[in-house]
Amino acid sequence: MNKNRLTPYLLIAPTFVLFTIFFLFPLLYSFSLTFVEWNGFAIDKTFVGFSNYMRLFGDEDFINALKNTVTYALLTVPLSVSISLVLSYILDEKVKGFQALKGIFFLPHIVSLVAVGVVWSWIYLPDKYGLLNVILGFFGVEIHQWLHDPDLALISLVIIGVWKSIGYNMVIFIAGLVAIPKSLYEAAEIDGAQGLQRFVYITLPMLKPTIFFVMVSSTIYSLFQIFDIVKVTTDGGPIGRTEMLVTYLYKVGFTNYEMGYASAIAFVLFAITVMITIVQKKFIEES
Amino acid sequence: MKKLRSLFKHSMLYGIALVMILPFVWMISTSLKGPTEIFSLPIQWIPSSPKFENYKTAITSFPFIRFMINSIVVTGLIIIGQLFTSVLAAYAFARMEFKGKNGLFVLLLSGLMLPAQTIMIPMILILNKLNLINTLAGLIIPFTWSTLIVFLLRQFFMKIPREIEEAAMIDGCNTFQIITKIILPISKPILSTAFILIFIYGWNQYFWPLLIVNKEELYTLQLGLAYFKEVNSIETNWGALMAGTTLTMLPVITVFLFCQKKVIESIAFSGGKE
Repeated sequence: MNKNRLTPYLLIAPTFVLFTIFFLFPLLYSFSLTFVEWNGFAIDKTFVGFSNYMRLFGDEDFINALKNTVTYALLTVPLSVSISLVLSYILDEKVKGFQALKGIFFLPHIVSLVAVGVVWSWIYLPDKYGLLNVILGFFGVEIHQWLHDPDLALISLVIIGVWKSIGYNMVIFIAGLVAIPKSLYEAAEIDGAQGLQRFVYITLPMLKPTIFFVMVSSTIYSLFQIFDIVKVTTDGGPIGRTEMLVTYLYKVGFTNYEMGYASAIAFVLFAITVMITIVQKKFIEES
Repeated sequence: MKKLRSLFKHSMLYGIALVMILPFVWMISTSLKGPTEIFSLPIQWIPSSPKFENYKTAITSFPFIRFMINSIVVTGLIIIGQLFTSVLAAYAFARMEFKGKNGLFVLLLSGLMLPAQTIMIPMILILNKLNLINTLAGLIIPFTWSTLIVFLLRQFFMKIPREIEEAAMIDGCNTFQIITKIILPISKPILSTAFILIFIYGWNQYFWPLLIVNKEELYTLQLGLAYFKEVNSIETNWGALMAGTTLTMLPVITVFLFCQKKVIESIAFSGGKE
């Protein structure tokens, strides 16, 4: 009998041991590190109270990284969501090559961010041989430096981010569209609603929870998936224009060896994620 | 009017599809070109005579095979590890009653959707204490659990009728036998979903390996590719780099080509986390 009571704990033990060592404990440990000054090697850590957090407000590099991260998310997420929303609406099974099209849109989602970064560096080549410059040159656009141009670097990353995420968002929207009862559209047709009206008055409101879910999860996703791409393409340059919270955090921790300060930045990131998640939960509970 | 709309719809779909696939086409096209053809205007989409020279360069000038083997070993063991730990935990959460069950499940769910970077510093300190830095085991062990997979399997297990198990219990099977002999054989669809998700996650991982190993012989393909680009950055051999990138993507794309529907379903079903 006693043995039976233990069985469920034995079954969940492997997962929970690993979860504790490699997630829960690091999370708590990380929080405690935000109150110290430490280079990662010295035996002693100096307790500094809230000064790591106070330092954030005066750190221009941090504010720059925060600004870039927010700008990147604010551009990438709405762009990707609106394009994929339209795509999911017009891509129905009657379209010739439906499966192939779906596959093509989805393909960027499954390949690694490193590979994506390498391929796009080649497309963004800053001279007349660069593919993007060639294609735009066809329309009379002059040659741009893209990832090397301080004014265009962030936009260049946004384009990669949108390209990478359209297919996934589209598939989620298609699933949401299928769930809308046909009778609603039929009723609207009797009332004389057509094309765009149907989309605005039925599809959009019915799809609101899905749209919200996609917005929230892709915002969180964009916070950290950007690390790999930035690391491979610009490494934060030119002149810090593509430095993100995650890449800045990495540099503070593993280039400057300021473990306490890096942990404080990590917790700002943590707080942002938690806040977004709470907003999402509130919204889902309401609807 | 209807015709016009259909024309508009189709040209938009095919137009965007073309943009989506263009980077892949350009990558493969470049990988098959000779050095002069790579930089020639106007652009040649189809190489005049496809050469595999670049693939040879990518494989020989770099320990590419080594990276490939590392990636296969690491991904393979992560898949086995995650399936093992998740099947057990999911069964307990789906089928058994025990004290603290709900609390523990909610706690586990907190592992979803948190940027890895928030815990990277303590993680490295812990891995260092455990002597896992610069080892293949360090690339595997910390990733052999998954909230997402436990969650997916649990949902599936809960739908299996209890009667099937009860019969086996009367025959004297223990929990482990019930899991391996009864539950797993009828869970093939969800196990293949889990397999695909873990495979793509493991194969594409870059951030953690970057922190955990810095010896070239331990590099996975993603690390190797990023490194390959970095050392070549002054005068990049784009042909070889594109060949290397193509090879790095190949396993994932192959799986996708053969079971596109299953892959898309799996990822959409899992709700976001790779």
